Amino acid sequence: MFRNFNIGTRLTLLIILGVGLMLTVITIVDYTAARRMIQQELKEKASSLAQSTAGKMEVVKRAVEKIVQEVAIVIDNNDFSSDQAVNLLLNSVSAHSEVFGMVLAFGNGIGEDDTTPFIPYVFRGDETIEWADLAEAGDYSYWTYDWYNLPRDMSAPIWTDPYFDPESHQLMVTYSVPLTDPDSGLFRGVATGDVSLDWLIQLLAELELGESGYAFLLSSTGAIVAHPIQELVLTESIFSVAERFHDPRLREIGRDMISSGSGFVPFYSPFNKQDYWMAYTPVLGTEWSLAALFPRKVIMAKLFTFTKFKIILGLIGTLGLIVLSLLISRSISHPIQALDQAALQIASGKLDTEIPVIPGQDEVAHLGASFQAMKRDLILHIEELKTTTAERERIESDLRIARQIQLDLLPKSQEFTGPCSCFELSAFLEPAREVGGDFYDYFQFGDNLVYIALGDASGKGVPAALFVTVSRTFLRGMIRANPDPALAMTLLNDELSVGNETNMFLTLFCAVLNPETGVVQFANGGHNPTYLVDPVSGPSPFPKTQGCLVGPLEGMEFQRGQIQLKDGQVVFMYTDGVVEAMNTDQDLYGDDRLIEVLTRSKQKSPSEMVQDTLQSVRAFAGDAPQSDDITVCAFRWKDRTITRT
Amino acid sequence: MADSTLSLLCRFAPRHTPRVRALLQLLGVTLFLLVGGGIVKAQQLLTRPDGEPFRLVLQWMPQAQFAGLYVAQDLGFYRDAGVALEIMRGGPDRDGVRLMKEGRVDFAQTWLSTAIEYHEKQLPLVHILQVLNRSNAAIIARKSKGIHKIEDLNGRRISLWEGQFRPPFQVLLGKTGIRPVVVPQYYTVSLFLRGGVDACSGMEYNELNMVYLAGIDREELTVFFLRDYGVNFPEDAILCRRDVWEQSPEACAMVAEASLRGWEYTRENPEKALDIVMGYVEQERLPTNRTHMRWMLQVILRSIFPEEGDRWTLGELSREDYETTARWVKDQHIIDNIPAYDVFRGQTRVP
Repeated sequence: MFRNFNIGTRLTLLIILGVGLMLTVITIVDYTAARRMIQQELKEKASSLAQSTAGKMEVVKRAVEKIVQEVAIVIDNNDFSSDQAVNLLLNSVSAHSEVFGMVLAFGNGIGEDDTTPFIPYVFRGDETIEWADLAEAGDYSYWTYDWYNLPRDMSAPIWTDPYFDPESHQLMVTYSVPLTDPDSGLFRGVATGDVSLDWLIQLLAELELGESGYAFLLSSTGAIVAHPIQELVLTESIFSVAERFHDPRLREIGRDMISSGSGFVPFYSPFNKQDYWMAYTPVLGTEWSLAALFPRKVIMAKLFTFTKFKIILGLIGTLGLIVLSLLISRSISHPIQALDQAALQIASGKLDTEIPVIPGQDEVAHLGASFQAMKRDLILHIEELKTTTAERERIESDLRIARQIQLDLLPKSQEFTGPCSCFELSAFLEPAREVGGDFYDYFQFGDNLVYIALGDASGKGVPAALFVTVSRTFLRGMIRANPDPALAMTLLNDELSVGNETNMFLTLFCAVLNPETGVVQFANGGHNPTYLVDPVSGPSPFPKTQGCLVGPLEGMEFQRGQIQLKDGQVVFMYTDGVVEAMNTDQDLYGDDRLIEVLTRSKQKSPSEMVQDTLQSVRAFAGDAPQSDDITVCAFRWKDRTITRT
Repeated sequence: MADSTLSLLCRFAPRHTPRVRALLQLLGVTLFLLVGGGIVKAQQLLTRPDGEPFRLVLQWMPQAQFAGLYVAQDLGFYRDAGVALEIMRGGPDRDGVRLMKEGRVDFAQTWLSTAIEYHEKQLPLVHILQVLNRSNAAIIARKSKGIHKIEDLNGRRISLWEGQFRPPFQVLLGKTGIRPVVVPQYYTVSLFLRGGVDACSGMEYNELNMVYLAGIDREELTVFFLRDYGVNFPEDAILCRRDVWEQSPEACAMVAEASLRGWEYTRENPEKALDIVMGYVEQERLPTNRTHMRWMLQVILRSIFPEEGDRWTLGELSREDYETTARWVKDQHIIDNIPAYDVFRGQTRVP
């Protein structure tokens, strides 16, 4: 996907992607871990704060319980008069500042015969401790109140629900212990202690809950006893708030709180619409529940600030990396671009283009050096190539000339009719290279004789061509001097063998025809058989004569053969280039195919027979390269004595 | 009224200069004094013979149970009807019957059964309006104590209200033959919430919701509504001293009519009615809240206004309901004789 961009862009993009991904992962992991840590710390802090507050409350609670219980024990175990009972209360209240007021309620009076209710209430007045008999207020139905009937009906001390005391304008809660008649063991009244909750509210207000944190207190029924929003105190419960704001989760939290549960939960305040972390724990025994709330926004703000700082730092780092990567990529791509330009110039042939010098030891510098070396080698190579090409062209030119010379050395015409109209010759030579080792030759000499020769020197190319030229020249002279082909070949052999260090040789068929008589004298020095093609019976090989290769050994003898041609018969000669021609499958053309062509062309002229043969060989070879020189020669003799119509 | 007249005038003169506006306001005040004063003069409000307004005492402290009456008072429905009426809160410190006996109060709202008892035993009363025709009394029990059907209350310790609120529960126990151990219940459900009893008495509009707002889910409770067991005591009724009725039957009719109008207004505007009730609640610094009051109002309205299938007529006390209730009261030996329906009902409805 990045292949279409240059190195600099790719590097920058990859760095942004890689570093960005890394930064994101690190930030998330870091943030989560930090948040968990903060939450854990907060949980511990909140729990310990709640518990220490609970502990402080517990101390007061126990103190009050002890005071009231002691009063109850004294009353239960003594036969007190009303004055003594009042004095007991006065002493207790004055001795214990925790207690706001105390009541002893005797529904059936205090004395043995007294059935008039006696309810002394001792309380802190504006300046002094005062007392009053509540029973004297005629319509005071003391028995209808929780502080009286709950200890009675539950036969146990109880803490009442908190209430607002209209006289003292204080939030109060009462501890009430049942009194027992020592004789009957029956309930006879209660001893109570009233505690103002102002100290508790003060205690909660002083809790270190950080900026905009707060605490609230719930009674055993979920009623809000202390809360920074005064209007909620005693009028609302956590459940009425849950109902009011349709918040079932708040109800669940409330249920856990009043079931003496403790926890650390996310909490949403519907009043100020803020999220908090809330720790809650049971207080005052297990009766009430204290909640300490820490605003998430404030706590998380620090984490956000820290994370934000880290992100900014990360971004600056990434920016630095991008700049660095751009510089690095530029240091790589600029020399490469320069090299690219130079390479294009050199490719267009401007070899004098300057290759930029790249300092340093890095890969790009090495590349620059390699370009320098390449340019140098290229110049040298081109120079060398020029020289070699010139040399080659010269040789090729020489070879072209040699070829021409060799062709010029062949009889001028490929068609020859001889001294009379009874003779008709056709020849063809096709060298495999520029110059070849085949040759054919004919001429008329002496007493109307016709000399015909066809040979093939060993090897190919220039050496063969030189050897053939020498042999042909010698043979010409020897035939002219002595028209016996066998003798001429013997002399030729002796001549060639002298100083023949390279052991070159040639195969040679040499014939002398008397056109008048049709007698052909011939000798064969290791050459392919010559065919006599009768227009009626077709081809047949010449009679065999002894004769070895011409040239390598001195003093060799060649047997002379002779045949009498009949009218229309053709003598067909060829070199091994014909029968050894190969097709692309490396098959040889062979004698059979030649005999077949000759049979097919037996009534044709020598010229047509030569062409048919060549055509057949070419057709057979197809696209296979010509491996050897091909030479074909044929002549026909016509008997002049036969009268033709 | 002066405020609304002024604002009306001001609304039509929004672009006037301050001087013109001041003139218009002066005109408005003058108009109000002339017209308003004229109405007051023309329509003399009925009062007690001593010229003081009539007084109506409620059963209890301000709460939504009395919303219609507070609405009628605050929105001037009594004055509009032609009677001067002052509503007094009830409560543990106020004995309505004693206040009536002493002549300090002319009207009272009590339960019908209580009214029959008072009428027969203490002082002659005339029933002028039956506010609640559907009983809200119930026994609220905890499922966790194994109470799922009424028979499960047998032998259980339950708390029931004393005195005037006891009869319907007594009738239920008599009808069903249930024999629980009964302890007295007063103003709170603390004993029940603290597990001192397995069940308690309660009103659908009050205690049932108080228990819920103390964190106990409805699913955790088994509630036996007395009306489901054929014990349908018509509850809140407005009564007046017979001498008041004899002297000023028109005033009684006006109180009944304006009270009903107050309830009708409350039904149409429950949130406005709650505003008014909460005003009284806050004045008395009562430990309750709007959420609870809303619930209370909703249940109370259902018990006042008949729906399809209900057998009662709005504000009426049928002879049959009266006689059934009176017989129940007699059966419990609270009264010896059943007062005649016509006497108890007076002739307030028939001119």
